[in-house]
Amino acid sequence: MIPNAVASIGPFAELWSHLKSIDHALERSLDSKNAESLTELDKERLHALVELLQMGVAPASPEPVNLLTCATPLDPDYGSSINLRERISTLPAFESWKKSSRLGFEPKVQKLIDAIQGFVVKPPGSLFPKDAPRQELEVLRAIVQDLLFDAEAALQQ
Amino acid sequence: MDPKIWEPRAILGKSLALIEKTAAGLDHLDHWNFPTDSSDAARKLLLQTLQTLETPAKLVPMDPSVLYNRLFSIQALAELVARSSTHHISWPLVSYCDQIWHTLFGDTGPKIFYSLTPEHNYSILRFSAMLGRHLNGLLPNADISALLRDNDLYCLQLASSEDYNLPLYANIGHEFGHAIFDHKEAELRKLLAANVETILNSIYSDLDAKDPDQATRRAKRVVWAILGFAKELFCDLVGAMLMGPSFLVSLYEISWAQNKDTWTISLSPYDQAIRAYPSFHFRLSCIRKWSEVDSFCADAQQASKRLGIARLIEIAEYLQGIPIRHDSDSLNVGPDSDGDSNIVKEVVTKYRTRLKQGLDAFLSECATEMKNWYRLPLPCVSAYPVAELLQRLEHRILPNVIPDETLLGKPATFAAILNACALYRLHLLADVKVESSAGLARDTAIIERLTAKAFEVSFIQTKYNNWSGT
Repeated sequence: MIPNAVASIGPFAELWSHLKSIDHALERSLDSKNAESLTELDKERLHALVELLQMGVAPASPEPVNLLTCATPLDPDYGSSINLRERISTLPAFESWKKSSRLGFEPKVQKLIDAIQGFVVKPPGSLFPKDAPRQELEVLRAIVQDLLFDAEAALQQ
Repeated sequence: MDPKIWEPRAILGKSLALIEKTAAGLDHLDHWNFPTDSSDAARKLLLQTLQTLETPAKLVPMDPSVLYNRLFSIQALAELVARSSTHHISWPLVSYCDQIWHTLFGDTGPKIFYSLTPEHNYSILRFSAMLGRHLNGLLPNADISALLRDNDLYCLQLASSEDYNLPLYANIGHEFGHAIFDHKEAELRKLLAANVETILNSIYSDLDAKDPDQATRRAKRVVWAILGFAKELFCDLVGAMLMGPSFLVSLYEISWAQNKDTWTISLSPYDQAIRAYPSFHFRLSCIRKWSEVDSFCADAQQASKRLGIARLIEIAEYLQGIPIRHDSDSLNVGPDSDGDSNIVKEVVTKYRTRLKQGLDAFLSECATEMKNWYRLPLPCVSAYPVAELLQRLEHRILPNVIPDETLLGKPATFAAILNACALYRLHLLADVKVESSAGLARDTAIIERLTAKAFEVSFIQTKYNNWSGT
């Protein structure tokens, strides 16, 4: 049998689709033709990436019981199955980005999050589109593609 | 030509062809074969979704390969609608299930449709929410919400070999429990939180001591696993309340030949798909309590003396003999490929005894809430009608009427017929001798047919009996 990963269904296929659609939004953001006219879907996929990163650098929770009462039941939450800290910190694209800076892991990830949020949110009254933060988007794409590689491997098993 | 350009175009072409094919298949379904109108609502929802997906403006920001992948999941939902046919699903069962569903959710709540699963089991699926998940990454949230608005649909999947599966109908009560849990989730989570808070704090401290950077992430997965245990036990409680002792018998039958001491957690790439099941022994012990088996058996002893049915005492002894000791339980966490499985296993195993106590207290509070939320007849069945129906089954008479000193008698309830059938069948199976297996097959087939017919007749009697009073 020839495994057909893209035609699979189930939780790993959902994870693959989730990451692939984020990757597509990043690709579109990096394309100058689209950067000026990001659609609602593009913005939401970039926001999904922000959520994934935030889970990866989540601070210690003083009230673990809140995890039980505050979790949203319907939206799939992919963040807690991935040891994002380990994955990102060993990724060459992330390591070389801001190499000269003395920032630690959390502030660096926060910078990436800020870059997406700043790019997606257009200030009110602004006439001109914002320039895409290319460097950050490329680092983010490297992160997502690294995760995609694993998700695809899981689909082929 | 650059494959970077034409490959996505080709995938888009394949996707659009698949949309057309799926829509055509749904279009051709004969809605007269649907067991209830809700199947048609599911079909229309899928057709509307497919139409939205092929709108040119919506396709622009979509990744064609994601669309292609998600269409296979949407096709699986379309197949559920295609398998929703009166050719395979008995209408009295559907009618009784619809009646129970209506008692739970009324006219304005979620709707349910019925389909078949190739598995020898029952399961419920929140159809509309599942569809919403499959659209994640394809459409903006506002479009998904617009499609699903006023379309809260569930699908109950029935075992396809249901002709030989009547006593397992009791499992439908458990499946309905999942829908109740969804609709009371906030309240139930609060009840659970109050009963397991100290355990969660202890688990969190242990995870924090191991690796503070990973503690919150891992704690979240443990929380979903505990929520999974609680959900299954809550559904068992609902099954016991709706179906009585027959649910104990059903679950016990499902556990036959399996290890009954193992709790399992299956970790998943996303939290909502984490599955967790308590051990059969712990579940059986909870169900025995909540289906009030002990008082049912005590009444059965009395009824058997009064009606002269010695067999009822045997059956009561059998019910009370179902194994429920769970002190040697263990925990299995998988898959092995998941880097967190060993740590999750270690911390949950450490607090296993306290967790059982917390879950037991949670169930007691749920039972009280269930009585406040719904007007359910409790207990759903008593020993006397079951004894009367058992007597009829022994004489191969349709078990549809309970004598009440009138000529016509009283139509038997769904729960009474189900319990009588399940208990009588159990007695037949437990008494089997290898040399008379052909006789057993004939006897069980007779019981199944009598029971199926009794469901049909009692439903008609109950629904159309109003004329008698006019």
